[in-house]
Amino acid sequence: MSSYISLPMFGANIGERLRLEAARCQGCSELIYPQRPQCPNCNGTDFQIERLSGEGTLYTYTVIARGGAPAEFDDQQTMTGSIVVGVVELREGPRLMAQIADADLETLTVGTPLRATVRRLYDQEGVVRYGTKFVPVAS
Amino acid sequence: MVKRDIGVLAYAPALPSLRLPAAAYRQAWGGCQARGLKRKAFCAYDEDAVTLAIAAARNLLDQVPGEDRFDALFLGATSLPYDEKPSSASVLSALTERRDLRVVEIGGSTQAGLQAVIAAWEFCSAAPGRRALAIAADAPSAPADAPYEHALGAGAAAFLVGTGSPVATFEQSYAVSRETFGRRLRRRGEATFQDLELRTDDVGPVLQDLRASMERVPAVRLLALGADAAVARRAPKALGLDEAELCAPWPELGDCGAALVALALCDALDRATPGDSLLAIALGAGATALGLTVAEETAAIPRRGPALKVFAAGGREVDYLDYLRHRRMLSSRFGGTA
Repeated sequence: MSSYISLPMFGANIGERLRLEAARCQGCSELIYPQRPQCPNCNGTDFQIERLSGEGTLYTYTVIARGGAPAEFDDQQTMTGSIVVGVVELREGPRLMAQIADADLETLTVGTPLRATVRRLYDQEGVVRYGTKFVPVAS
Repeated sequence: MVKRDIGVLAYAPALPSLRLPAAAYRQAWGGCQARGLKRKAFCAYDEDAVTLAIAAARNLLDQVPGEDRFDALFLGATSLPYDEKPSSASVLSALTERRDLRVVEIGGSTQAGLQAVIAAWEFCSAAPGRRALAIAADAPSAPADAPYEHALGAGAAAFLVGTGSPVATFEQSYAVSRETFGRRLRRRGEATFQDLELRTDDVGPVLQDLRASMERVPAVRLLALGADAAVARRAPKALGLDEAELCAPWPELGDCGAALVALALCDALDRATPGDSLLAIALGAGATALGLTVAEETAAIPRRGPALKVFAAGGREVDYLDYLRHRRMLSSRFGGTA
């Protein structure tokens, strides 16, 4: 199964993908990531872009075993084994889903401090897709 | 060039997350063809020259909050994923929302990393007040059964260049060019090196040319060399710099391509004391050299990032099979996109 994202759609929100740009609702101050056209809290449509720190903690995670990943990630999974995907609670509040790279499954726990890093997501249509993953912060 | 006390305002290295000891080659192949290599840093499956360039630039910009304005980005690399489609634009997109600045990619040889730093210097010299970000990043590839593959590693280093309170100011640059034939050859569209199995000495004549190009060999306390262990043994004497302290991180990092000299320069800046003179030399179808003088007062921009040796000592060590998997050498897609 594929989670295909067209290149125009991918490129349209490159600031969110690479720089973690969130939207601050000017009506209720809610910080929204991923950005949405309408504030889920007050239905406002006036936003200011704010860059998130990329620092957070692991809220929850799952390990996708071989054969379970979307088609774009099948080569990664074949070459490297299980893929870890987590929900990261950012310092500023929003939670987002991302791959947890460089994770040691023996030590990874809920609450592990994480930081954002740009990595290759996958190759598709001859284009390398780069995006944000999170890595454990060395203690 | 008009000298305006332009220099390195901040610098930072970045290394990939994985390490392979040279012993892994001895176990797998009966020997490691990279003589003098202890272990190397190499890219995990989801890392490449672009992600390393971004990591180095972010490590740098984290050190200088509020000082991160730059007017151009120079990226020196030989292993970017596209012949046409600027990876420097991808790097820029990961660093800033700004689009009103120049991005330049320099490739073609392992001199590209140092050439990017010199291009940043020249860019800043052309107009007062400009700042530029110079990044050297590389992750060269070769077929698994090629002896020269054993040395290949990966890394990156970033330098914020401009006026202000430089950690070190630029003094002079030198360059010699020489057409060479040999193992460091890659045709357009190819992801890996070819080896023509020519064993002529390309380095000796280049070092002679370089020494001749330097009218008077400058007094150098720290020599940052982007070269392997064999060249590092002969280069100081060939250049008349026997007394200089050698900064050549190849044995701990491997052949990081165009980034190796930049990482050596980081190492030299890490070790430098106020007033030191530095010379960085990149070799590859000729040579590029850059002389710097460390500021008498380096406290103006405190260096908060870890030194290169801390990065080199980190990373997760894996075995040879994991190395092949992460480098995609066991994948049917190997060579499709580097």
